[in-house]
Amino acid sequence: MAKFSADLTKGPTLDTSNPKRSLKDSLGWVVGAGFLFFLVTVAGTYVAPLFGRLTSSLTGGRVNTGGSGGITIDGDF
Amino acid sequence: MRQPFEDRLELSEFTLVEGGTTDNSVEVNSQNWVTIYYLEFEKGEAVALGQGRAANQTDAVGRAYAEFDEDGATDISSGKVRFVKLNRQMNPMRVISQRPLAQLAKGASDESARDPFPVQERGQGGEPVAIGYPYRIGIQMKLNSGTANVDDAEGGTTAELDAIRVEETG
Repeated sequence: MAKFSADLTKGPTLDTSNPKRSLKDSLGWVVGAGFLFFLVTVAGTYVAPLFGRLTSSLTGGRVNTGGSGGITIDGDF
Repeated sequence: MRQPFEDRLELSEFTLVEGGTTDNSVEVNSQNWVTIYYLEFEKGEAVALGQGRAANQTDAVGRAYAEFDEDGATDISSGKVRFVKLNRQMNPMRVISQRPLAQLAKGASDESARDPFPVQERGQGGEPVAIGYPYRIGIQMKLNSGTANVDDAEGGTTAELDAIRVEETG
């Protein structure tokens, strides 16, 4: 059976052996930010209109223009 | 910004669906509703047929007038006309309004004698419903008997329909 021990008289120590961010870490940030931008672009381009179409289909394809004197437009205005 | 305004649709804005025995004509019969004209929209355009709420002759704001002639200027007066919403395949999706031909032909020179034409379609809140791109507004005809050729080239073939037009003003 493994035994564990701890020296409770010593506090935590800071590992300063690699204080600089590596190129690998930086690339990770760049790739991550790029992927996030890609997700936002896809959501704005493809997903958001789908919600609009869903709403439109739920109202029988009619969209109230609101600011146009309360006229409902039956079509893809 | 979308701006609605009152307008009068002329038959010249509509496109004839040809298929008659002469050029610029379409054959109608007593068996089927035949689409004779359609109004096409650009994206950002829509039209609600009719104006105002009152349906009686005195108080109506909107009026409708239409007359259709055969080759030789013979009136086609025994039948019905209806306005429909058409899809891109020219199939009717619903009827907006239907009237006898004789009723629509009243008031050629006296506008106050024309058929009252209040807003023909209203939404759940009572607001006018305008039809726009990609749909079309169609004019269909069905005779009481026999066949006839609606001739677009005849001067007597005409229509004036009060309406509310909606356009994207930028």
